Amino acid sequence: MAKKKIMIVDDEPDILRLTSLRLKKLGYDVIMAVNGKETLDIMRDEKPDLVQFDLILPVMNGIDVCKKTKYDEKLKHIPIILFTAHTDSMTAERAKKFGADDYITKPFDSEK
Amino acid sequence: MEIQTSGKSQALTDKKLVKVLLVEDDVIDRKLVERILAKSSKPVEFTLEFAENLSAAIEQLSNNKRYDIILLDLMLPDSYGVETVQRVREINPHIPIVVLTGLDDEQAGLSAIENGATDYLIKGQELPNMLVRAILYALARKKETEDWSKTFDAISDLVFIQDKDFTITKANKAFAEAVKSKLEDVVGKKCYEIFHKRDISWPQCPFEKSRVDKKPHTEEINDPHVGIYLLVTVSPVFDDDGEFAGSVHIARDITERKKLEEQLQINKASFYNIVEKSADGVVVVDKEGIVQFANHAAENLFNHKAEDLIGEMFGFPVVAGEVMELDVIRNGKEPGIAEMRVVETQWEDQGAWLALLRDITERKGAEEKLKETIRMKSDFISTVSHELRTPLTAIKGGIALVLDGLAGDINEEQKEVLGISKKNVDRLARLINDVLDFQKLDFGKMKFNLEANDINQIVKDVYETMGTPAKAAGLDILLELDTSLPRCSFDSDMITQVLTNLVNNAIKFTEEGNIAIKTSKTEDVVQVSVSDTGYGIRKEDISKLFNNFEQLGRGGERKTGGTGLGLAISNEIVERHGGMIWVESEHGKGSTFTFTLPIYGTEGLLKKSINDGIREASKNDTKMSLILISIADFDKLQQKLSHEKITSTLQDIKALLQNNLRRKPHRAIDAVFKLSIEVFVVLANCGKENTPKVRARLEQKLDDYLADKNLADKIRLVFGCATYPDDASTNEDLIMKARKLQAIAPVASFV
Repeated sequence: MAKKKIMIVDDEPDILRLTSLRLKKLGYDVIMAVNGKETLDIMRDEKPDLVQFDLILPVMNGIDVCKKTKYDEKLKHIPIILFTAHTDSMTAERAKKFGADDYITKPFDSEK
Repeated sequence: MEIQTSGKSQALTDKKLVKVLLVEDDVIDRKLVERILAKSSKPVEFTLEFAENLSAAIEQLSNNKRYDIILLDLMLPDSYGVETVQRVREINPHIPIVVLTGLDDEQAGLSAIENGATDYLIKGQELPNMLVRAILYALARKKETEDWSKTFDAISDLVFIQDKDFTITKANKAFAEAVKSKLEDVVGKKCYEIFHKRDISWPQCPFEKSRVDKKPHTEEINDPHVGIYLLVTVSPVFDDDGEFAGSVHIARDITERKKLEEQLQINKASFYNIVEKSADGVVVVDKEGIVQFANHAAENLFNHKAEDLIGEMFGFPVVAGEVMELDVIRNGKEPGIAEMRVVETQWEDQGAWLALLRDITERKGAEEKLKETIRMKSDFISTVSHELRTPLTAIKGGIALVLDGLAGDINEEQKEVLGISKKNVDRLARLINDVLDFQKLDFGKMKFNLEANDINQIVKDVYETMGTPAKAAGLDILLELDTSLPRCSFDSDMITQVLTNLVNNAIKFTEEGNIAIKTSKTEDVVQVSVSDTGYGIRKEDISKLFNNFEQLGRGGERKTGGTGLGLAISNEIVERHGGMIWVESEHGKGSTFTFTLPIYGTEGLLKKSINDGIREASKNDTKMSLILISIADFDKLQQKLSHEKITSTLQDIKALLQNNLRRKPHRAIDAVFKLSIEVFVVLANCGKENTPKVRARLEQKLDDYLADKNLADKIRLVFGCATYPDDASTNEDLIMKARKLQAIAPVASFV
């Protein structure tokens, strides 16, 4: 079975680095992006099996990326997990409405 | 029939022309009169017309012919005696009439005069001598009467004369108009009939009083029949025997004035009502400090009735433009606080103070609560930040221990992961420190150590430390220093922090190019600017730049690792120094951050320091004292010691004082200043009772120092102290007070 491809998006390079390291150790292929706009382009090219990204992203925020993904016939099947540093879960719940499949609040335990 | 009596009239046009109507049936008499008038050498010229009988005369008079005088024979074919005069009078009431009578009829002449003739002449021997004279006399009398009535009628006041029984004997035009009657209809009537339209006299009429006491009286009369307000003055008239004969009434229409007065009364009443109903206390205090007025709200605030307050000393200091808070008893029950504002005003044409008092008890309470809340929040943030530091230190220590290989060898990957952790732990530590710093600045807990420093030195120091990280980022730091900068007063650690922060930002936001630090000065300030060739800042972001926790996505990316507090802290620090910080930037081309620090001379610094002290003391309701130490008999001393020696001694004294002042960590203003021949000590939170102790301690130290230097016999120091607010409330006054005390300080202990 081919390796599952996970895409992670964050504007903090340190977070990207650590998350990708962990996922790679767990046997996934990892692709990365640093802003929302870039995410959609890469998703179209790479067709990842799962995407996780921060709610607050430069250029295009997480909710908008969610919406766009879910309106895109080719992308809408890809599961999305949101990260958020906001303990206010309202925002994340809102994101769920727009197509996110789950969310995790930062700082997160890697096991989650 | 008309006869020109003089052929010389052309040549003598300046002569007064008198038109005479002679009513006479006797041709001889007519000729006689004609001759007499023609021969007259008086400065008048006569034209003479005749009428042969009364009917002709009446016709001529009625034909609108103008005559100056009538010469009237009383024995006419169609009229006889006095009746003739009356008939003429009916036609023309004003024309002078001189009656001509026969020798045997002098009695008729006299009765003619009683009936309105001006004079009478007896025909015969008298006539040639008397005629012209009588005519001229009659004309003169008429003119006099006319002048008098003209004057009388010209008076705009209502004037009439009445006899003692209220009958009007004379009235002027204004009066006649006021009662809408003709003059001739007025005369002979009772004044109350015609004026007040009643059968008995008007009750308020001052004439009633005049009748009793024979003195003038004045009353205001408002008779609804008349419809106007009148100010009536009645002056008694006496006959030749001194008997009361009547009075002159002069009535003036004062309706307009009364209306104004009424309006004024209404205005006053409504104004009074507004003041009385005002929720704020209103008190008028005269220049002697005595209460002249207090409204209802003021009564409540002072718990006294207005009548108890008025006439008493106000008891609070009133200074125009000042706002102060007073302790009051509200509604006679609970204590409260009132805010009093004072403005200058006028009270009964005298300068006075208007004190406006507002009950601010609730507001004060809310303010206190708010302050308490803010303080608690601030304490909370401080506590949390401190608490965070402990676990953070442990994390940091643990990571460092592993990273340094003290817990065994680690591979590259492990090193990288731990490196990331370490970097972020450091970032968290910085964030906590910034929050704490900002908290301190925000609550004035940060202690400023103001000293005269060289800003260029600070720039060089920062250049030294920041050179390496700049190099690592591929950037050069260029310096452009103005070496003529004066030293100015600032806390060197704090300004270093500001400059480091600016340079750090410049490095973070510049991909390539360089960073330039420049110093310069204007008349009042030194200026430091840090320019970079980085992303620059969008116009819309510039205003947010110095706000707390504001991080801008410069160049579209957040990669700064900053806290968002750096510029807010820098801003606060610079402002506390009395300077300014700002940025000029063009997006995409780079930014220049500039801050200024004020240049104070020592004297300026002293004044600033005293002012800061006063402000601090008044804010905290504490006191502030000043000790001034000068060299006595400075002139004589100059002969004994060199200028350099004196200056260096004062410098030593300053240093000695500085070392001997207990530095109180929370008070930035304890300070020592050396002016040309004086040294000032500014003591924060030091009242009148403590100043002598401090002074004695410093005096002892200075005595020891002078003795040690063998200067005790040469230099005598005099001390002067002043305390805010006990002695004075401005820096000039405090200094003056201290100097004055020096002048009267005892001069004993030294020789």
